[in-house]
Amino acid sequence: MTMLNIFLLSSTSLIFIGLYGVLTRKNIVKILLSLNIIETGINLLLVAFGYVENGEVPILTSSESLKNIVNMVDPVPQALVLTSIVIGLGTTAFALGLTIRYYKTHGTLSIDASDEEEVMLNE
Amino acid sequence: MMILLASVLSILMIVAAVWVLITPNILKAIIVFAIVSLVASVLFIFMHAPDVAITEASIGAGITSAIFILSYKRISE
Amino acid sequence: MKNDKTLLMNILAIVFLALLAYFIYAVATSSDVGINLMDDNVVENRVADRYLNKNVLDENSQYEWGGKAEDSAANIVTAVLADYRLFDTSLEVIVLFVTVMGFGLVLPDERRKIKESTQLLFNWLPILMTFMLLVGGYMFINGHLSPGGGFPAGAIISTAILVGILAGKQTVSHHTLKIVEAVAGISIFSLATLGFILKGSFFINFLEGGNIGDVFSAGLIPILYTLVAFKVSAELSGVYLEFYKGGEEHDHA
Repeated sequence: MTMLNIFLLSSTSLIFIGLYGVLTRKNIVKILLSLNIIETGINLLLVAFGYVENGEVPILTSSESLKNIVNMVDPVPQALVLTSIVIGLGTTAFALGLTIRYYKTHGTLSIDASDEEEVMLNE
Repeated sequence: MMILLASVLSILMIVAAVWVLITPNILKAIIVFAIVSLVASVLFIFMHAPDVAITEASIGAGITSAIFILSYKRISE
Repeated sequence: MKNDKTLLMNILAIVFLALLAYFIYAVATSSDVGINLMDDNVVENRVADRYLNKNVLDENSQYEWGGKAEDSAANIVTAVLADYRLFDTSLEVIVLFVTVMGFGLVLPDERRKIKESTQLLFNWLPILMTFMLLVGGYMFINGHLSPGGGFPAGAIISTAILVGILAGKQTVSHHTLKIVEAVAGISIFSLATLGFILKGSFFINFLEGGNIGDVFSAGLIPILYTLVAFKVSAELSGVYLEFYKGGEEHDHA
């Protein structure tokens, strides 16, 4: 069992716990929280792909750190995950705006409300 | 030693993620979700990614929960 | 009857997702197929090697501590984010802008009044805000030397404004935020166009970079990070202000 095993295990289980929540929950706020859990798990998984055992932080701090440049972890996934976190915040805010709109039109947060409306329209 | 700490933290994170799904109280679920994000930011430090850790702690744990709580307060009024 | 059916579906979902999770984990850790994460995979075999050695444009470029290099940011994540892959970052700022604008458009127009909070929070507000603004400012000024950078700095600055709202005081008006955001956004793309005019390619780092490790180094990166921090903080503060009634109400045309 190494550090990489722990990171991979925790991130994959986080992704699938979130997916289970998206599939089975009925409350929209719960579904959004599950989507955010999936996002956290995927960010952990991406950064874990760049992890190197006994690696170093990819920041040059002194002339000594230049000798350790081959030991540094991969900086590219970190930069991409930084982007992904900020965009996740934007999409979450937009989804919450839609949720408030949904509550105003349906009077409830359950996803079954739109199903019932569909049935009423078809009859 | 680091491996022990990392495994304890990941178990805490997974328990918190399950707790988010099973608790009936939405406000509690939002706050427990902040725990998931905070523990994830500690795991980012273990992965030698301090930039991502700072961003996750301030945006993922702080501002996302703040926007969730503000929206939930707006709904529950 | 209905309860039994949902229980069965839940158990099926758990079994199916656990199988999927197991296979993803097995592929990620196996040593003969897939990504081979477990066999001493070093960065030398990846694209990141060019970023770490700072020889993307010139293959024979060498550098030493305190000397000049192709990109003189000490934090290599910042070098990737704000120099080599700057198109990603600038378009990300645009995506954030569009989603926040959509949030304001979708939200129903019933705002709450900003209520005055407890006396304790109200009196401590200037001290709290000063510390938050100091931390945010430190973070974007030192983004090329230490962890941090424009996005968390913008988030922390916007949190200062959120604390102000929670304490019962609107420190910035909606109008000011819009002006800050527009000026920062236009400046980012003007700098990009200036690079095109001076050096012949979009978003090139055309300023002379100082020595690695100095505060005044890395050419354009601190300037761009400052602009990004102001833009992100204005956008996020706009999100909080959407929930509350401000003193003036001339937006929402």
